[in-house]
Amino acid sequence: MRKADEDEFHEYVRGRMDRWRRSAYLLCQDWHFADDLVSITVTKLFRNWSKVRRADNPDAYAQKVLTRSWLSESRRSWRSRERSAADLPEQPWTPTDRVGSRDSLEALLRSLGPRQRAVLVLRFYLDYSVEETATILRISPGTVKSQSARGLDTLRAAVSSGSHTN
Amino acid sequence: MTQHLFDEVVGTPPPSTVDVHALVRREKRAQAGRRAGYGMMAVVALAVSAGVLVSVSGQDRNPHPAPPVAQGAPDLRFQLLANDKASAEATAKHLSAALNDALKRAAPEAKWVNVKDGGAADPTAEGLPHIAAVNLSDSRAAYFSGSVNVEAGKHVGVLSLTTMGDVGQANPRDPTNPEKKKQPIKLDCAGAEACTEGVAPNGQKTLTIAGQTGNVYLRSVRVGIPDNRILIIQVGSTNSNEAPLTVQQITAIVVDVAGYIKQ
Repeated sequence: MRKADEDEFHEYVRGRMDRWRRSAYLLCQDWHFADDLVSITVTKLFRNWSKVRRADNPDAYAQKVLTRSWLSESRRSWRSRERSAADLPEQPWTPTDRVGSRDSLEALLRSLGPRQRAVLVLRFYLDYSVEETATILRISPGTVKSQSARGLDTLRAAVSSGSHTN
Repeated sequence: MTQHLFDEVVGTPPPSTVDVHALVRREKRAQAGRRAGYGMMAVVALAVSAGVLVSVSGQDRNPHPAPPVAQGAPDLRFQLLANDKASAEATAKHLSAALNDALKRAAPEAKWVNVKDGGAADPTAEGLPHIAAVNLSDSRAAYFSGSVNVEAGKHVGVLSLTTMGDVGQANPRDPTNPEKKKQPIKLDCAGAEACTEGVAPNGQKTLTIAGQTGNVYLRSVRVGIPDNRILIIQVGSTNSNEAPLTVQQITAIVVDVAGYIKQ
């Protein structure tokens, strides 16, 4: 890679680092893991920089790499961390658990599987369309709609509650 | 509106631990390593496809390589067996341990390292280089090979080990050709560029070949081993001045490993 291309890459990464770290944290809710995900993403982007810079939407390309890395790493980390536990896991989230606050969103994200969590982050935090989200996650638009519906209910409740408490 | 809620969940991010410059440097090394690996594969593929280098004349190798252990100590030598999966795996483990010991003796400061997305396999859980039997389905053409990242000082490169040749076997691409079976291939520099014939301190003949694939500098040293085979140790680095091992060290390693291999 030419020096000028490499400089351009560094400039590109510098301008998006905060956004990538935030979205990575929302996906995994662990800053160490989030930085690992961003590191993986940066490496992959550097490896394919000529392709990234020619992409119609380099930012969407980068987000696709980050999100797919999350899905891949979450599967791997689940396998490597899988172990027997003395206690039963927490009960899964159900719609009746809604509590309007930042905590409820955190709890909601924690309760969801990696892909479903990614749907919410892409749709409601990063503002990707249904179609863009479907492309990034390699699922159908219908799946995006159904998976985001439940999250949207909770978000509405949280926002509503937040406006009452503010 | 909802974005604000997400930002509240994120809170104030801690200082980033993402070192972009280090990641870029590592990826560049990995790319160089991959190219070195491809170079090694190309060398092997060329030799196999040409049906050459599968035997070394007896006079070119030391018929009785000195065992790497003192007299009276257990004989740690082993045969390059690949009759089936179990024997091939056992041989690969012996080679891996021999290579590890040889590195410690030749370059005590050097160590095997993980390079994420690098061109070579990570060391095993025991910290040993990965060696495996290749082309095991065809015992006539089976050989052992492995690559591992090696670091010495500030320099990192890819070290590859490969055995070539089978005992009196025919050309793997034409196993029925009896002429090929008898054809002795000498360990010499005939027709090879940047090749130097030499003699190791133990009297073994060596071939040192320098080359370059893309921006990867390769140094390989070959010696004959029992049963008309050749053992090759190659080190690739992105800069000829930044190789983790010197040619002398590579020579010491290949001779040391060869000493473990018995007929």
